[in-house]
Amino acid sequence: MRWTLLAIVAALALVLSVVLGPAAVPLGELLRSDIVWNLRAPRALLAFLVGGSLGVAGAGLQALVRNPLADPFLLGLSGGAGLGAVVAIALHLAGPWALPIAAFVGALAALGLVYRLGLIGGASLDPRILLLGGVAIGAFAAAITTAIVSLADAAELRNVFLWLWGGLSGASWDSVLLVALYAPIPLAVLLAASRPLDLLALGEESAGYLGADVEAVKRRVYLAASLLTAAAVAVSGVIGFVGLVVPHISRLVWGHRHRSLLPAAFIGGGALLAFADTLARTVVAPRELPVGVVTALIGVPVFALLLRRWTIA
Amino acid sequence: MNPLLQLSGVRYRYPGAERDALTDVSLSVAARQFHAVLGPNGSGKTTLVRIALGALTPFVGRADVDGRSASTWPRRELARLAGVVPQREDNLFPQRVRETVLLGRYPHLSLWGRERAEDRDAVDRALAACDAQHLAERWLWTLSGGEYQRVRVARALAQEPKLLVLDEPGMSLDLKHAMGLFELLLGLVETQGLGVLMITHELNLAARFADSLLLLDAGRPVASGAPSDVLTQQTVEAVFSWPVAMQTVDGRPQMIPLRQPKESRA
Amino acid sequence: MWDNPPIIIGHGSYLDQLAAQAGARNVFGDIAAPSAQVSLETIVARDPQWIAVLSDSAVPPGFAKRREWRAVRAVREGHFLLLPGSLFGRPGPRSGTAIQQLRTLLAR
Repeated sequence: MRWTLLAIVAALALVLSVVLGPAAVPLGELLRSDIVWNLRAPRALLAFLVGGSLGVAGAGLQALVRNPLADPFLLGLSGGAGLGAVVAIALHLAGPWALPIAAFVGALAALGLVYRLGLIGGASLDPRILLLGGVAIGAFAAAITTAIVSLADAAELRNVFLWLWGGLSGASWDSVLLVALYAPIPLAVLLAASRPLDLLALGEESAGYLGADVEAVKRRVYLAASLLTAAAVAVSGVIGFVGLVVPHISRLVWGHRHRSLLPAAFIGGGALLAFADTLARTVVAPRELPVGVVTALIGVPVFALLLRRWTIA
Repeated sequence: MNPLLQLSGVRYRYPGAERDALTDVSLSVAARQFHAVLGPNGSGKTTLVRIALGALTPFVGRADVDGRSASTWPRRELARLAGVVPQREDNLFPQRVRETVLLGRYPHLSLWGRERAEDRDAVDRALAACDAQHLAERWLWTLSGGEYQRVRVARALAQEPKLLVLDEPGMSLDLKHAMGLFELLLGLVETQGLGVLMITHELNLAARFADSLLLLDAGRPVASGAPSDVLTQQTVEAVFSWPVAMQTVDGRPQMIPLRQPKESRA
Repeated sequence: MWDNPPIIIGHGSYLDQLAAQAGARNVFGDIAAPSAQVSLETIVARDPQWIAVLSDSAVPPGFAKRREWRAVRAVREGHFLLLPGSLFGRPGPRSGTAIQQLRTLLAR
């Protein structure tokens, strides 16, 4: 029953994404419209894929670091991506894909650094260090980014911050294809870790005694979630709150078993982002808001409500 | 028949520590045996569990489970043989009792397989053995300390192990629940033929229920064997640094701590 | 303009004034702010004949090759006005030259 409802909500979000927009496209002409096929449809799909990826990455991360406040962007990836993007622009790197590739590389560099930090205590990946390290590396990268922007002379660099706030304007069938080919692997890894993640909720020691290969699970979940997030940032900037809030909402309805939680978080995250993107495109038409702003505006009140529920329970 | 657990001459030191956590410790637990490891805080009891189950590797000596070196056992296989109830559990997310006991079936489930009828049956049996069926639909956070402890034992039993290992299971339990738990464990040994290894600092309870004791002091074995052989007044006073009187109840030694004489308290 | 996210020049900005003086109509002249983020589909819908980009190079900007931008007619037809930043970026004494250049480019 709940799955049917979720499917309906997702379908609705996608339909709205395609039907609504700042450019008026009469309903009758929808199927023939260039705008719909080349712009709105891929954009809706990309929003769904990115939102879904962020939702699943968030859920996996929250289980891994055993902290319900974890958000995929706490890992320092957004800082790395921003730095990569700024460097690409400052160096005047050419090519239509220069920016996403540079952002992806930057995110991976940040990932590598934080992972290395996480291993500081020994061979075991310490989730607390992952979190703290992520925040630290992210802040460091952001500082360098700001320094470059303020020192350099290109007006374009200031526009990078707008990109960083998240936007799906780079959506095309090319980017949809790219994400659709890339995302299933880390998604599958996370889904396969569903049961071990359930065990991990009891603590690493208990999980180990119940038969989970704790170190392998931690590594896999961390890398898979990070790779998903890196791709999301490269393609659409930093879209906050989806990875934080969607898992919590999903848990309210589906509980904590990751076998159902992860798919629910995917569909829920996808629907949410598609919906937020539609809002971003339509509320101040003909202008557009960065999607990250919309998700934050929706996300913060929802988060506050969840907090209330948490402290009452 | 191999003993379920065997430690021989084990020595271990944590990285950066000043002294060994365990020195020359030996232990053997077979089916139908109830062993307890005793000692004051910091005597190395938890370290012993970790080494016995392969989580740590001893510098000297061997730790074997069912004849094979403990650290070579794949985690899942080991979990089918040994059910462990560690000292602490930090359950992050709210759950119902039945769900949490079901987690104990993990070592028996395949990667993608759903839970089968036999898994649900195992959960029911485990709950019944722990006298906790009536708690099955309750949320964990509503349980008392004693009830929660029973549930954790039920989860370990759901693994259908041959060996149960418990680390300080009676801690933070009141008298009634502690006694109840120990009776339960003894019952499992007698009726289901399990081996039990229990770490505890509750001398008296261990002496009443266990067949065999190992007394540790700062990582070294002081005495091992039947309770009445191990717990003599001299030994207890030396290890626990406190004057005691010993009594016998049901043929088992019981310790009564004495108050310090007025002169030395001044 | 900037491409990701698309940022266009609105009414009242320097470039907007230059364009008006050169006889061109800013399709986003109805936006009151000097610059604003818009959706790509809005650009497609408003179908400008020319896209003015602040660029010191002679080749079309990188984003012209991106698939989603091909939906804009002016991009497909290569109708880019490549305006050097030194002349068109900020108001200055050479605005007359700037307007002349614009007129020439538009006449082609």
